[in-house]
Amino acid sequence: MPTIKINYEDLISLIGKSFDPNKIKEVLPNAKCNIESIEGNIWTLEVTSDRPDHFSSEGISRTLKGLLGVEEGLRKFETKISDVEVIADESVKLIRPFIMSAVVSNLKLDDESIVQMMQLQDKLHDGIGQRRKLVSMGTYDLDKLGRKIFYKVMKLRDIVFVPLGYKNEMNGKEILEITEQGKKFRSIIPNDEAPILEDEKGNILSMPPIINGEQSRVTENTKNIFIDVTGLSKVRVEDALVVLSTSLCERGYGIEWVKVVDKSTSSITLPNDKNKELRISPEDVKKNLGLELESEKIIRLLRSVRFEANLVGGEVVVKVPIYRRDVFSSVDVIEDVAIAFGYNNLVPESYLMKTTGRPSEKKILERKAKLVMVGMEFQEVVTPFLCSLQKANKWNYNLGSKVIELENPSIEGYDSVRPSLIPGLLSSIRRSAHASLPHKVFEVGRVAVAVNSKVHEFTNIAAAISDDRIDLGEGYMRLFWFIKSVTGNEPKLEAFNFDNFLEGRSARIKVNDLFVGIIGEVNPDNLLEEGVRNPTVVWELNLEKLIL
Amino acid sequence: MSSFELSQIQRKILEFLLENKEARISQLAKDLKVTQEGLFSVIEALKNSGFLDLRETEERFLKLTEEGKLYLKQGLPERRIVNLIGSCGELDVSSLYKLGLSKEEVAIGLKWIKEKNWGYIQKGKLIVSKVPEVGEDEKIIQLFHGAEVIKESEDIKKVTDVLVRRNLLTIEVKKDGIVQLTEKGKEEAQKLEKIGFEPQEIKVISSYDMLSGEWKKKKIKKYNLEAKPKKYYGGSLHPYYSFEEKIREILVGMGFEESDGPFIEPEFWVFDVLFQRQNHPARELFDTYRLKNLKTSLNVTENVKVVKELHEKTYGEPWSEEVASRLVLRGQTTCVSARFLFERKKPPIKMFVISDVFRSDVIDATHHIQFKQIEGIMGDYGVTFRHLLGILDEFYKKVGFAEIKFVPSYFPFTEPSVEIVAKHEKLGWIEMGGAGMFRPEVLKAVGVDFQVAAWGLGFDRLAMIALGIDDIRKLRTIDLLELRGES
Repeated sequence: MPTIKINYEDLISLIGKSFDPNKIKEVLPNAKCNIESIEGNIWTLEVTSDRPDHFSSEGISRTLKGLLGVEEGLRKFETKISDVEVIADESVKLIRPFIMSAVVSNLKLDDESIVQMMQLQDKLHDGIGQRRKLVSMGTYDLDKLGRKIFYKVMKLRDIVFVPLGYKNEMNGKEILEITEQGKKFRSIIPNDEAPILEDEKGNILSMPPIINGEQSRVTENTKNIFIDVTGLSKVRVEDALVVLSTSLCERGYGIEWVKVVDKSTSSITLPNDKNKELRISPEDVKKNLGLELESEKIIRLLRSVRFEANLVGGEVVVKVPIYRRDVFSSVDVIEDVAIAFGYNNLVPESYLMKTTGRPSEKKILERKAKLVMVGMEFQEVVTPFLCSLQKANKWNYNLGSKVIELENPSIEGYDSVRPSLIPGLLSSIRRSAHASLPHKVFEVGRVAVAVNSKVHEFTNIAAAISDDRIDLGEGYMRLFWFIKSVTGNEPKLEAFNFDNFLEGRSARIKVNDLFVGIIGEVNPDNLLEEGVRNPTVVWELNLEKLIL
Repeated sequence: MSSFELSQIQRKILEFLLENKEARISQLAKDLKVTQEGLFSVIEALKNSGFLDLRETEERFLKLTEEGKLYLKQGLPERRIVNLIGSCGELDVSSLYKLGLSKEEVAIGLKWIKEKNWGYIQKGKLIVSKVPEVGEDEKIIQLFHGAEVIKESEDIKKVTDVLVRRNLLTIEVKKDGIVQLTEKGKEEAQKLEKIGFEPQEIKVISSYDMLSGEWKKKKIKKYNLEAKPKKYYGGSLHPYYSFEEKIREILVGMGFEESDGPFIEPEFWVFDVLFQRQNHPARELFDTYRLKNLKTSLNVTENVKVVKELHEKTYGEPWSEEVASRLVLRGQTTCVSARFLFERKKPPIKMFVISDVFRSDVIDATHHIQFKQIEGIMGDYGVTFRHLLGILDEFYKKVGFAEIKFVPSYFPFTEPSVEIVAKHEKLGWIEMGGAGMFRPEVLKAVGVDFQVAAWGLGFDRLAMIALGIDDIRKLRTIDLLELRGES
């Protein structure tokens, strides 16, 4: 979940009414904002990814106004069509086809509001923008731009402007090589060209999704902001534009939607600013929440969480604010009814159900296996499902199989799926070097390998005995007892050569003519390599095959 | 004093007396090869314990003086004198000296002739009417032929007193005694007879000892209860698993049946069925482990068409089957619930999972890449959000949290969604996990038409609290020292 920082003073001024900080702390969780820490006026909040409108203080203040009773019902935005126009060239269609724009006017900005605007853009970039790949956006001081904006693709060498935060002009290639953003996001665009925004005066305003120009930088003196959102997904472009412009609008007067003219077809695109309408009934609320509420009560509750709601023919017709991009169906509204009612005002209730509780067959078998092992005085250990590729390859004795590797390991030594429990047992013995002998350990756990590119996952049991003097016989007698007491069958051994075991001291285990595992004395060279200082005998069984 | 507290010599005395009724201490000392003085103190102790009667006796032993020894050779002076005179007759006293008697001997002899009334002196002559018979005193002296010491018997006591007075004998008095068992002593001796008068001390009873009854004859050494026992390590279940069993028991007791699924799943079950939008941050590489070069082919029966339609309709973007068929390590166990509903389809359903999930992360005291979730669903036509809160409340009360709170939250697959926080005495309010009502889209994707309450709760946090562990890495310790409780 995203983490954002807000300024408490700024939040209060956006709410427009003073409240005790404790009151704010109390209602924030009902806006799905959890306070992580407070340092002076800076509050760090964990917000939820379904509410991009909560990625800055403006949107949060809007929700809080409802919860605090300052302002209820739908937030209406003054909207009109701007005289600014975006003309989209055909060249963008293969690279970054969608663009939507808006102007937010009559703004009163300060340092904090610029911080919040940048934070909102960053979080939108990271979330629905998939780190700018699917969506990216820019904000500009409108009064420094022309009124016709061209969206087109240019050769990198022909793109020349002063990037935001720099003093000198650079060409597109230099921007990708020199600027931080260029280095970070260059993989999103083609090698030798990039989309750009240019005004009718021929000023290059930005190079989406990489960087804006210094010339149209937004400062605290900026009165009117031009927003562009470009991307690969039309829905997401619209989501981002609506969230960003409605948030900015909390510090200004109105939103002007910018017409996007498709140069080749002359068709015009505008964002959809109609409020979504949904219908819910008291029965729906009862069915989902188990709460009997009259329509009037539902309407009151919904207004406190900033919906418009009216009774129409026995149903509540709900108008959804345009910044609520998370509302898809009636259940999404019903959750807001519950939040407005207060989760902790909902009385938990028992549901009587005729069911029989029982552990799974698999767990019953595992438990039985574990008890036999504990009866033989083995200590259970629990080791990770992931291990290093080197170890995994070394201990993969499953004929004709391959070790499964992770595409994106996060830590060294945990890049592959274990094909066997044995390396885990050996690391337990190594770690226990200071514990007195004998070391008798076992594990019941999952392993997996790929056979012909198909994943095979199974539950194994493995045991190891490490002692001053130990041999295959010591392992075999316990293996024999284990199989006999778990299954009633008696195992047979069949010679099997495996590099990690001593020759003539290793075998495959056969039960009812089915190979179920291996047993062997680990080669002393191998033990020393693993950091194990005493002779060690190990066996491993496939628990699922064992009970076939 | 019990039989086993008797000393070895005491037990031997009892043994002897049981056989011989009574014994003289002096004899006993010889037989037992101990000094008589030593034996006396041992017997004294037995007497004090009421095991013995002791009759103390004295014995006198006679020994000749130097003078007595001389007379043993020569005879007493009075005898020598009367022998000189012969059977009857008289003799000048003065001539006695000429016959080889010393003046002193003559004086002694005459004194005793007179005393014994063997003769008399008249006008310087000793007159003996007849040769006197051998007297008792002479007989006693004769006893010393071949014996240095003789024991004084009662009948010669008067005579020996005379001989002592005459300084011919000396008397040595020796204390002695006769012992015999009292009733109590006899009982004790009989008891000892059964178990043996000389028991062995043993530390361990062998099965032979036990079966033969020999153990009763042996003294079992008292165990030193102060001493530390020898180190011993049995096998045991891992605490992490033991806690899992505890949670399992609670859920089984609440009427839930258990299920699980593979750790490796296609994204379809992990994300798409659960209405997680494709190209969503949570599906990204930095959250979910993806498998290299491996894919699965989605089975068409797996509601692929339904899911595709739901996604495209709601999110307004094309849905990719290729993305859905990528394999990942599951990041939650909700996919097990989805599969369970898809396969079962018939209410009522109460199902739980306690199993592993994976997140691409670091490993430190508070983070891990592998941990467990407590997953659960409750499905029926009448199940509501309040029932969900009810079952969560019941579960956490059973786990040991008296107070829990519900906070609005977000999960793509539930609506309403809730986060559970529970109050811990010391740690305050703790986040426990998420829950909610499955979205209609999810229900449609798995093909059920009833309501499903679902939750995925953190297991490791609960285990850490229960086991008093503050470092998540210690939860799955593989160190035997730690598992044996020695570090």
